[in-house]
Amino acid sequence: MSKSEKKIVLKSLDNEAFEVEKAVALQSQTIWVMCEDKCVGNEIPLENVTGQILAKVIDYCKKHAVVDGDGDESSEELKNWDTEFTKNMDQSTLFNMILAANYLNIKSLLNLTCQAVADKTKTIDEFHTFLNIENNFTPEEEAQICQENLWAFDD
Amino acid sequence: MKRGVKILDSFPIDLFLEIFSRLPSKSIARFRCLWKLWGSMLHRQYFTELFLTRSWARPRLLFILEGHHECSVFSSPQLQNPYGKSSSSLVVSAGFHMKSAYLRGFTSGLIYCYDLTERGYKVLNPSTGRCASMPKLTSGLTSYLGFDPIDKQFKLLSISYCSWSDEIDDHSILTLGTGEMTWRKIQCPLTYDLNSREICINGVLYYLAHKTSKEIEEIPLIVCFDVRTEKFKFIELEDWFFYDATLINY
Repeated sequence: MSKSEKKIVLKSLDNEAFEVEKAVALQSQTIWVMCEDKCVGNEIPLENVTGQILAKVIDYCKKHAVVDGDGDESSEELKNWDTEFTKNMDQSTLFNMILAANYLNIKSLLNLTCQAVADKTKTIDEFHTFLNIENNFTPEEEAQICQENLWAFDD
Repeated sequence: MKRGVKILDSFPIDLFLEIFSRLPSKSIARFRCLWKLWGSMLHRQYFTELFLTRSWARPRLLFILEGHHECSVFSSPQLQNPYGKSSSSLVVSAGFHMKSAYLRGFTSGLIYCYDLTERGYKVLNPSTGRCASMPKLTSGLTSYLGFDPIDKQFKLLSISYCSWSDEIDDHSILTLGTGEMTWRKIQCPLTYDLNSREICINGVLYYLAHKTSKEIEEIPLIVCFDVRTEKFKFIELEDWFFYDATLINY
């Protein structure tokens, strides 16, 4: 394999180009299928992902590719890295990461980001405010559904 | 605010379900009250299964302590990583307390007890704290709770002696669910007497009994009741004698 074949260019929605090792990019099942079918050249346009999010996805893939490759780091260290990785992301970034992980079909990243949102959703109000959801139950419906789920509000 | 609206519109519902399936059951119940679409999505069988798949990976301990005519349910928190290094100590929190009741059985997440004050059976869901009284049956000796994993239904099997002898020949079934619950009779091809409490494995209720007959000696047997088809099968135990027995799922 020549040097150029080992590298791949990922292009974001806002035309930012990232050159990465093929092994890093192939953690995405979507990219893997594209390469396998030879339907793309060395440059892959990813029209659903912004450069800012793609950079983070690539960070994640790099970390996980290295670990899978030479086994230098323990799974414990990797877990810590994952925790740090999502720790300081705000809700908006996390939601966009979930969308990207889903689109690129990277199962472990989808798992990690969904779990991170769930962990940060300690109080419903936060989630509510963030998504700007208007309660669309009628007062009667709301009274009934709250009655049915009364056990959830007792502390 | 605008950012939130944008995400809500572009975010597929199945990805929301992925997030919700990782939340504790209490939070899910709260989300049900938040928005109509979520309310209905979070009630569907698909979500229940997704939630249970995740939940089973994080086992939780449940203690039921029985005192004098009362029982208390304690539960440990459901840890994200139950076998990890950080989870060497557990704090068990008190769940709820039921006065004048004693435990009768448990199957697939539901607890089944007898309420001495109301003189009737109750089914309790320890994760929601919901408790439902079962309709009374005039001639019940005992009842067993079974779960059918195919149709996802809980059923109570009530067993009682016939009026003129000490043999069991009366079986009734109650399907748990919404709407009006009523007992209905089913037929059993054999008369027998009970020896043990039940155990429900993969949709079959097992309990020990012995066949009663005037002509021959008593024959110990395992009664197998298929919760879904409501049919009985019997396994005879040769050359065995017992006063009491415990069935274990291992």
